[in-house]
Amino acid sequence: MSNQTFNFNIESIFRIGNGTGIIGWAIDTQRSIETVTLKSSIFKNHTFQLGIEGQVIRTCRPDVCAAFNLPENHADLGFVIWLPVALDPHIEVTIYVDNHPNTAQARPLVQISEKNLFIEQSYSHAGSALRQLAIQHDDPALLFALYRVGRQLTKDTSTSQNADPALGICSIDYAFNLDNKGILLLGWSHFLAGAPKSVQIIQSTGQPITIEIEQSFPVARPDVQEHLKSLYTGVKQNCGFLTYMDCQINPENDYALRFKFSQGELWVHFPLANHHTDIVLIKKILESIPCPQYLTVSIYNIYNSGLGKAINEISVKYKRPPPDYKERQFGIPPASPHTSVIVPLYGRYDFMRHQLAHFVHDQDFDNADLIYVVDDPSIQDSVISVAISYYALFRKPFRVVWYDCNLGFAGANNIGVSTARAEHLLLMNSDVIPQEPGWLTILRNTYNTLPNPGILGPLLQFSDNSVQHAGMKANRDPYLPGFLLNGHPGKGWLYYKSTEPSEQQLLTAACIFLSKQDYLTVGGFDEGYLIGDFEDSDLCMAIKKMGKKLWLVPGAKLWHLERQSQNIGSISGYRQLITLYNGWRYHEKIVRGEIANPENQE
Amino acid sequence: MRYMVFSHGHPIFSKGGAEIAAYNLFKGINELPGHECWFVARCADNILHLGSPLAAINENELLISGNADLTNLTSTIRLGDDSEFSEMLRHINPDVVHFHHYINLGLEMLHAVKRTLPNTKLLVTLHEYIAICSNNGQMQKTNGTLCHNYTPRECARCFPNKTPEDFFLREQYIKSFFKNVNLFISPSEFLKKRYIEWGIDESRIKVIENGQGIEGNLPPRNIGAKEKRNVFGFFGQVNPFKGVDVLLQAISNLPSKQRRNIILEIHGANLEYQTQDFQKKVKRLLKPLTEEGSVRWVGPYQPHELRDRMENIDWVVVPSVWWENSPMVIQEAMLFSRPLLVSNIGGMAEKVAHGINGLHVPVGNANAWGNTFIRCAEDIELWKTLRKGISKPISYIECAQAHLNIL
Repeated sequence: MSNQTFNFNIESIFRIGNGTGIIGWAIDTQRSIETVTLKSSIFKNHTFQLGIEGQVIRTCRPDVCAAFNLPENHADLGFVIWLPVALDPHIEVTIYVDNHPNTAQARPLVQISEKNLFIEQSYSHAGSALRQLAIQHDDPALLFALYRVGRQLTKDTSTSQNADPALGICSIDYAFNLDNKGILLLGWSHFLAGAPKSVQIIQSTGQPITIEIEQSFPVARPDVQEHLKSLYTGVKQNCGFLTYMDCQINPENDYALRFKFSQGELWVHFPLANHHTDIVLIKKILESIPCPQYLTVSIYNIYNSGLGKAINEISVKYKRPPPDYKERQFGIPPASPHTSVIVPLYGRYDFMRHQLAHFVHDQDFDNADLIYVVDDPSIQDSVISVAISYYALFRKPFRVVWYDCNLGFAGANNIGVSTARAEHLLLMNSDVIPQEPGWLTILRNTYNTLPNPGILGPLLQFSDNSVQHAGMKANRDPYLPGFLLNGHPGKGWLYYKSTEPSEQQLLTAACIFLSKQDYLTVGGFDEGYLIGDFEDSDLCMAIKKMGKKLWLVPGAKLWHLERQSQNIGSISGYRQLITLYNGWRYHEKIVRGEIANPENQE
Repeated sequence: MRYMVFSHGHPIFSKGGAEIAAYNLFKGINELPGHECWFVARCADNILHLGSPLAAINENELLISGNADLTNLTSTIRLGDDSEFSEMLRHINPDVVHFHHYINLGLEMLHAVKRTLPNTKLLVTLHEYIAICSNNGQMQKTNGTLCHNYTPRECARCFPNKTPEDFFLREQYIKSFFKNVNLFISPSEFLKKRYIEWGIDESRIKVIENGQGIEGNLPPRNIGAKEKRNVFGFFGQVNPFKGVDVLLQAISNLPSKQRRNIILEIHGANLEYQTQDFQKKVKRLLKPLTEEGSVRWVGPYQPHELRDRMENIDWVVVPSVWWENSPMVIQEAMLFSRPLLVSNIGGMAEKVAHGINGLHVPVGNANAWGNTFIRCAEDIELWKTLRKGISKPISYIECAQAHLNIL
């Protein structure tokens, strides 16, 4: 196997880029390994002086110790040698270590490619050495390949967590590829040696991407804090981070995050979550953001850092085209309806029979174009069945429109309006129930008498007659800097203000009256808001930008059984982040002047 | 006048007080000259024909399908213009359609009647608090305490898996169908008041007591010179609302010496349909008392057997722990001149005058019931006074006439 004076073995040779690595062990530790000589019939012998032209790192080899009856941890018998030479894998090479030939049959040289990393259990010892090597080089591609070899040799297949006793610990929980145009990293870290000098995203091909400090937002991770308590002292609650980088992403690449400290480097490998590209990805992203309740102060800036724009682009790019819809008329449609009443149905289809039971007593509905839009394929059959039996009972005409997906409030109304026959629209939530007949006439007549009417909204009351909606007011919340939110003045109180129509900053779309022409002129509801908030404020501000006014008409009163308030404080987690994303988007449209600013006084 | 009575059951199959009252109205109107009445009673589908919701028993009595649940009260048969229901209405073409109840039948029938026959008067008798209260219309909270007024918030506390809005929606839905009703009839002032508080205009509710059959005088129980008026009779359903368990507890609590002086007869039905817990409770209390002889379990009876059953008792007890409306047994006791001991709430307190034709006993209070039993058994003069205070209840003919008079 080897001669008596210098017993060594080469276990593996591999090439990465322009370098070659040699892994093996040597018994004689009285002397250091100083040279490596490559001999071949094809090229001239080449001797490398280690430490100058190449590097050697000794590694602990308890397996070798055991084989030679040496005490365990006798010495660092293993080695990893790095030579700045690209060896052709098809050429036979004899390797001399300090002029001792490797008499054993050399293993075939392994070509290291991006797809084909060799992994063998017996080389696990070499992993940390390779990492050290990786840090000493600055060729990103080489670095990364070395890093990966090291990682795989040490069987490090964990999602991504890396600890260094001197530097600290870091983990990446999620790395989202945002349509190959950006990357969102969610993770946590605790550094012992202060803040890193620089942070980079390293990829297997391409330039490293430097992350500036202001691009990384601290995130509360009480879970991590608790977990690390037994290992480190002084772990902060804000040990999490959220980083969005606007950059070209190649989903074929492997990625790592590199923290540079003056004492060394810490690397964290991470796989990209590439499973989704559409709205599901947005949902997953927002669901993955931990403890959003601690983020309120920075959430606007997080969206503004580019994440909001990326989400917007994804949601626009992957938005389905308007679906084909089907329509069924119950009864004989009125010849010239005065108003198209559009009610989207989602989940609770029983609201439909509750509304119909009240509409039947109201003559306004004899000549209205009542349209139920089924925005929920799962209730399609039930809605039709309710429609059949309640048309048979009440004999008042209405239509049911349905399609095979869920579009949300904005999309459902847009479909409804596209099929509307009347000049005026009354958009209504299904959980709005009239108190007395004649409310629609009040809204219609008032529309004709008010100056410059844009949108009219009735007084909406909870079931205990307290105010649910009497106009909305834009407000700013010091806990959510950057956002322009909707306040509900008088909500929960008995209505004590004037019974005359009054101009409002904003109206809720739970029940609004407007002309179809105005609705179509502004393009209907903006379907770019996710799930459904702010599109009513958006519509109000779009109509206002046309120079028209928003009016509350307290003479028309309906009940609105709103259960889940859109109040930011009452929702949490993912749903809150969606709402805030919508809020960010709404505000940005105002900033860009695409819609009016509710705060501006005429 | 052509008059149609809808009932949620036919007394042939279901002998509840409301079914009997509805049937008595049908009989009464038919017996008044110049009037004809039809009776349409809901029944279980398994005794109907396949393929039709209607089955005629004779020229004036029909059975109808209906499985509306208590929560939604929504009709389960076709009600369109081409339905069997509308066809039946057009064929009979009544001047009045009177829903003696709408449970099982469904609220939507009220609209279907008005749509099919716009000029026909629509009447509804209010039996209990079904429209107001989701706890079987008892206005008793699910924790057993009495409920004094309806608010959706309080209802949601009784049914924590529902929201106040669920109850509000139910209320508004029921009211939307009640808009079709010309007149409501309540057998008691108490019940009328509850429905006014709930939102029905006072002018739309008339009070008419249920009519009774024509009966000759029933002499008092035959007793010897030294015997006492100490036999008390309970008649009706044995369920948690009717308070039999209160009576059993009351007697159990008495010293055995006192127990020997009284006898409670229970002419009760349907214990077997109650919850296991309730059955256990009743049986546990019952066993030692029946062995000892202070309680006799007589069991269910047919209406025509009531006279015989009452013959051997001195007092009729109505210990219900819910409000009641106008319990039929109170009218029956008066028909047979048996003084009454009743809970001091709701329709019971209204129908029985304390110290005149009976006594009021604090509701659900077992010790008060025990003391009242002892007092009544010992004070023969009290029994005599109260018996004298009883006046005959109105007959079903008078009741029918009253229904025509309000039109």
